[in-house]
Amino acid sequence: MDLVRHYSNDPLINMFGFGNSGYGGLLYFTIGSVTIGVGVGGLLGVVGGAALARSERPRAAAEPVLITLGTVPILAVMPLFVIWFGVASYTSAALVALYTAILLAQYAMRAAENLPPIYEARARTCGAGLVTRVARVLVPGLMPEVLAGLRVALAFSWGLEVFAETLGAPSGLGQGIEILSNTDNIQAILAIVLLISIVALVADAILMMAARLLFRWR
Amino acid sequence: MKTAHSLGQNRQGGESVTRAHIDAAQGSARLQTHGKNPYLANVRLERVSVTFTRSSGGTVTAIENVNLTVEAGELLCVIGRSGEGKTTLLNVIAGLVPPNEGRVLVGEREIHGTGADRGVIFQADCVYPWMRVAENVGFGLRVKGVPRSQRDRVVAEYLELVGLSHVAKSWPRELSGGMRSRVAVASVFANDPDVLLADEPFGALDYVTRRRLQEVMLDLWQRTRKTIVFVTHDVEEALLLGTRIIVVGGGHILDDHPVNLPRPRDEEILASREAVETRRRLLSFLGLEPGIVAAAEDVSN
Repeated sequence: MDLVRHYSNDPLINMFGFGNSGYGGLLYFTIGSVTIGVGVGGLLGVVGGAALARSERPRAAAEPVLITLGTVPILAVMPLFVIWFGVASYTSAALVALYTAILLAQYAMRAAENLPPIYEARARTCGAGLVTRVARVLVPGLMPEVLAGLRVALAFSWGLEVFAETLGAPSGLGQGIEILSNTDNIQAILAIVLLISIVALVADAILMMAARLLFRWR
Repeated sequence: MKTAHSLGQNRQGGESVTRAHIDAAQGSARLQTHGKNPYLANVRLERVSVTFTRSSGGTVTAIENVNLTVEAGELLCVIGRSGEGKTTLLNVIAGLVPPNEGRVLVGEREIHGTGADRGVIFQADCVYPWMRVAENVGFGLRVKGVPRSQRDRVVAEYLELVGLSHVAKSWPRELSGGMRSRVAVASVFANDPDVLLADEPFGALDYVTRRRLQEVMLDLWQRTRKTIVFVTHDVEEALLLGTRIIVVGGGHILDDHPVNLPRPRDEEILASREAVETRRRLLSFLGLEPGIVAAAEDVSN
């Protein structure tokens, strides 16, 4: 019961101005940030990656940039985001979106390169225009590989989001950890780590269930 | 030789694609021509040349100054050795490769790029793995905006004709290579193009499956009388299918030979004097030595 009480209404969390919602409010913020970050970043990454794959020179130019950007430490990027955006609710989401976009652009590029050109040729000989080719051929053809990337991005995003929150965010489980670490409350910190791990596992399971439904053809 | 009475046998259900199946399908509904006269579409290539640039910087001329007329309703077979321009010729007609010089006309219209009036059965497997068999066959019709009910009817007819009705709802991964080829054939015929282009569609299949699919192809052609350009490296296949055979070599048409053999072209017909002479002629244009030609005839006999 103590555990439930801790999750639902931790006095230490309340003391630092997070209301009386316990970890629920923090968790809500973190899940929201990850969802927006992965969603926006994923969309930008997939569209950008697929477009780059179609043009040789831009792809050759973009590939090393994307690989290099992906290796820039979060510790170096996050302070810049805090300076640019301030300690806003969307700062950590923007960071998640950036790393997700970089990762998924690479997956989408590889997927587009691996998609047999004959699929598109067939669509063209059926009279399909660009929109139909994208909707009926490119998107379904890319999705399995993109989903594999999305799974990696999502798993990575939880840690990224929490870490970004510890550096500067108005709420979130990362801020909870930051506050509790000042009070040496190891048990409460571990409780948050456990919570975020469970959420990450559940999110992955939901993604896999969706994938099984979407990719029955594989 | 197998006749059209036993066109194919599927792997899953052991059901034969028989004349009875085809007659039943045809009895239930006429093949789709969407109100067009299927006999009208001829193809003309006028002084067509195609040159490719190699990544090393050099150029290679795939076809050069080719003039060709494919009459409406003709089943033209194009034979030749690998890399001699057969597929380029086909791709130019399909609009997948633009000519550097010359022009291509379908009917009286000069073509620029691809279009639903020219359906292609590709050499490689192009059945979409994310669409069920029926969706694959109906893909072109969907692109054209044909209403669902009409589309379903056409798809059902062609699946019946190629003997795949029982796998209409299956995923392509559940089919054998031969069945997937039949899906490809049905997809193109169902889309009702004016001209049908086939690029060695059965080249990767085993002998028996290939023979059965050749029969399916012939049967569909005899029913629809589409203008067909069929690329193959197999002289026997060309003799079996074609109303006319051209030999392509070095980017030029080396020989243009009408095939007047009666149908069905069974083993007896294909062993006739006229067939042997045609075979000999084609083989000589393919660069086979007289001794090899004689050996091939011995094998044939």
